[in-house]
Amino acid sequence: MDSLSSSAIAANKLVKYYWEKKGFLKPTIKKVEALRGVSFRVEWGIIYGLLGPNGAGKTTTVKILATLLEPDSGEAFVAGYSTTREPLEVRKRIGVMLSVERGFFWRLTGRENLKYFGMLYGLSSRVLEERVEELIELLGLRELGADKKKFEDMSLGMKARLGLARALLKDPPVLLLDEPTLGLDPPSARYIRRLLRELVSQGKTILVTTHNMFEAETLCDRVGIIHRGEIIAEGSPRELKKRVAKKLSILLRLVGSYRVTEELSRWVSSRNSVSSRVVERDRAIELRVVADRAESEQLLAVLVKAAVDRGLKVIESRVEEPTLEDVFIELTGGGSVSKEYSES
Amino acid sequence: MSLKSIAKAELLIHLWWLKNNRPLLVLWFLWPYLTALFILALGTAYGRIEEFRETMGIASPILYIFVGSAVVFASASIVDIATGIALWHRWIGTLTYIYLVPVRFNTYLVLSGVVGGLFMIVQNFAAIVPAIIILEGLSGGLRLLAVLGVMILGMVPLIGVAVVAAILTIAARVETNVVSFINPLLLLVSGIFYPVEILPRILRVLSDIVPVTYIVESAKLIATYAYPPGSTIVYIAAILATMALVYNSWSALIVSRSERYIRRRGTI
Repeated sequence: MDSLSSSAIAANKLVKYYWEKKGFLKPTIKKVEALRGVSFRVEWGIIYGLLGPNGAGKTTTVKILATLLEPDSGEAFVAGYSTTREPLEVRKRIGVMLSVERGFFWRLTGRENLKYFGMLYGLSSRVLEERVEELIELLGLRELGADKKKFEDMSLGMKARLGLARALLKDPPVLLLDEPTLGLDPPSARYIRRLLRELVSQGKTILVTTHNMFEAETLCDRVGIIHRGEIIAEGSPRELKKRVAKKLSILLRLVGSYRVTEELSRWVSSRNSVSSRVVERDRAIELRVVADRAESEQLLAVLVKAAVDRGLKVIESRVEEPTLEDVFIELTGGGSVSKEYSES
Repeated sequence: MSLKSIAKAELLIHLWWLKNNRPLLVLWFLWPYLTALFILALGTAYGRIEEFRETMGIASPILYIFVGSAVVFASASIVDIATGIALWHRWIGTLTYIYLVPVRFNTYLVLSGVVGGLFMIVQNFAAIVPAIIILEGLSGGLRLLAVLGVMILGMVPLIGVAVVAAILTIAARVETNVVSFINPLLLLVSGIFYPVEILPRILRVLSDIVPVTYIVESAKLIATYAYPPGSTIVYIAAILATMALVYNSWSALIVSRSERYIRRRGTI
């Protein structure tokens, strides 16, 4: 218990169920396991990435850490306080960002919104004025005119910056950010990542959820891969990549039917006992296959032929060193085939 | 954590909202007059205004109608306001961030409901004061001020009910203000439109336990007497104080259980 509470964030065997009700006249109730014993620890002064596809349990974990949700079993500590027994103490020490698009008053300006939340969070008038100005400057809101713009008129990038400004209002030691770059254009996403690195260098501890492999690899000091409500691997991006050191990644960029590419992915996985994954990226379909180094060149040729035979146009094919995405593919056996991976 | 700063934030959000929604500002000043017309239309369904005066047992129908419109809008509406504010936060996505304020959630709901209720009362009074002064002179304005005091007192017993309604609406995940049906019922049994005596027996019983009834009685007294009888005022104040104690104790019990339920079910 003591060692758990000495970390910035600690989750210990968190379990959470949801009851899903379907039907109106004859409703059926299904038990959905959102978290199945999630445990991890985040030391002070680092960025920890919780990486996983949609529905893996990332947001549920963040909500438990933020005291918005109670686990069915297990416990969590933030800044040394229990999220279930001492929620008010936890709330004093965290900054939270759950959604980029919502969460502010639409008809209020950026500055008015920040002042409102600052007052709610108990900042005195003098401190609040100074803090709001400081954050407007730090997040470049003045430069973009977002301090005087109504929230409804802001771009997604401005909204993300405003969300981060709110999370920083109390100057909390721990930040919990749920997909802070989701939907942002590449420059805005880069800006947010750079800012997060700066905050960590100032001593903040940040937990960030993402389904963006590139983000996890470049931004995070440590990464926990969460899949179907469980942490299936944990370590620094370098440590995680060592897990697939004996492998290479085969990449095919294709034009054609997504469904046919999925079928090709299943075919190669079952035939060669390899892990593969299909994603849409930059107007093409990418098929990634993680294979042993010895057989990768040969498998590449087989795959190119199989793709052409299925009517797919191959616009790029190569073998490369594995990335964090390949670690994820290898660990989850390809996971659920998702179109949602985007690189920015 | 300063409760004062939460109350200040809630007041400012109403002011900023109006500042950035000018058409709404105009409409809000019109509403009390529209309600006054509605009460007048219902009242004169008896016939002439004199008959309305006799039926309701009041001396100054004009003052009563305007005071009545303020009562309609403000006194009963704290339940509606507290629930409406909670739902509004959910719809625009601010509820999670409100919940993260480091005070108990029900404390926030009480403060936001009270500030919202007071804001509505003051806004209604600001809207009708010019009409009252023109029609009834300065004494009418002063009487209106007396009603303001009674209305604020009458809001107290309903604070707990308002918080229960708000928290249950969030817990049940009903994405609409289901308690809005309460307001017409409260007003019907309060005697604002028709005297309580002509209501069916069951509604008369309900009328006795509803705080708004006593606010309406006060409004009638103020609209009838230059100096309302002291014993009657003490009687009304005692009833409202008892109601405040009973209703708010029960509400606190329900709310403390509901808050835990919200966190377990994740309905925030």
